[in-house]
Amino acid sequence: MNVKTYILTAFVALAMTACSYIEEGDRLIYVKPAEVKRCVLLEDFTGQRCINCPKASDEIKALQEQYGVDNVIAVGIHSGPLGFHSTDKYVGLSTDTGDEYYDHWALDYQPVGLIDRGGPLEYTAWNARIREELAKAAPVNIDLMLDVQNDQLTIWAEVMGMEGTTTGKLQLWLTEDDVIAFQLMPDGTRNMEYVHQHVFRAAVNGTWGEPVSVKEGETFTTQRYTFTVPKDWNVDHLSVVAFVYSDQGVLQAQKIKII
Amino acid sequence: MKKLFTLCFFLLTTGFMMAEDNATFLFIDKDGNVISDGATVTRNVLIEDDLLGNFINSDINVKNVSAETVSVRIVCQIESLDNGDFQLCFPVNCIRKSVIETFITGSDKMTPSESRDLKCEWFPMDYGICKATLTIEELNSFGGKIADGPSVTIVFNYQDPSGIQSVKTIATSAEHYNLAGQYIKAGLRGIHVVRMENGSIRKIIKR
Repeated sequence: MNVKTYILTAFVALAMTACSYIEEGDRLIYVKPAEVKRCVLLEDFTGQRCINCPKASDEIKALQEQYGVDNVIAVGIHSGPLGFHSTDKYVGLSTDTGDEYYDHWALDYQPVGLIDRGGPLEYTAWNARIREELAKAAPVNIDLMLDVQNDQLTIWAEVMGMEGTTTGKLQLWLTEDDVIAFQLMPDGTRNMEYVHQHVFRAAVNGTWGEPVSVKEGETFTTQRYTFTVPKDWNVDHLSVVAFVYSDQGVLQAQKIKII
Repeated sequence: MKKLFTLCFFLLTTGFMMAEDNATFLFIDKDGNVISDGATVTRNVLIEDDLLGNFINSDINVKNVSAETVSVRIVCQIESLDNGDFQLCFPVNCIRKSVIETFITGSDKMTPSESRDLKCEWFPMDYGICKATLTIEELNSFGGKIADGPSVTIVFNYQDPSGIQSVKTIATSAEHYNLAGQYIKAGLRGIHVVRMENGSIRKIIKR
């Protein structure tokens, strides 16, 4: 009788401790940490009238949490047919410069991203490409310098050659965080108080930047650019984004907050 | 004879139910009614929106009626576009076109019973017609096509009832009423019954 009871108890215990089926999507998979050799520039071509664009913004947030906010430098370029230019009634975040970039890259849909100025990618494909780009060695480093006096910014940069000779262009942009403006949402509603992050505001040294050529061990210093911050921008939320690019794409990027 | 009739009816009914069971994706309207494969639907209600501009909405969703999570995309053939822009925001991107062409959307997974708005709209600049045929494609996990799903042809029809050429002219020269027939201001949000100068009646949604 005792033996039967033990056997029965063992079967019951075995049955109760049997493995649960775990959905494929819920299983934990080991992912080797990304090797970071450079900062990656993610240009997110977005629009306030684009219902799927908040999904891309969520993806950017997740990517920056995964790889580090300093390693994935995102810029939201409001542009194209789904962007919105300001009217008397509504704040629009599109700029003529943003539209020029959208047209230049012959983009066809939104949201769409350029990662280190490779080909256009849907936001669902950003993660893999960023991982690849982070692992590439940077041939240059960038240091950014700022002088801020009220609404007057003076910006300049130093580009240091790290390998061989690098010839390309240095671009300086201003971005702003925490900009409140309307946004169409994926559920079809409109959020009139949506908080937009890393909004492209202006190209400080021209739409396509300035030429730069630097050999390994040398340093190239740009001229000092002055910029007057418009009254409807918040200086406290501004950042400078700098990157060097060539026909090979973006070679290195850097970002610092104004304040 | 009666037995034969019953048998035929049974076979037909069973065949129809099996066909429905085998479907992965369906087009449905805003009330949840299935739009049959190959159907043509016409939309002609102009929505005036100060953020988006004037547009006609297709009010069509794609629904995953299978028990599996499946990837989907749309092949869209714009067959006619008299003016303005055609827009499709499904499943992950928004694509806006101002010329006649055929394009394929990006792809995304849809969970069982998930219904997602196509956000397929025409933004007319003037009176005319925009016509597009949308075909669902079911994809495997590698993005390869498994099967064609149903198609639907959407005709957006924005017709001039009075010969007046400009949208603005119509808006300022018409009388606006609510559904109860009470006179309302032209700028008020909601459904407007608009009586044009020539006496014709149109229904407009203002947001």
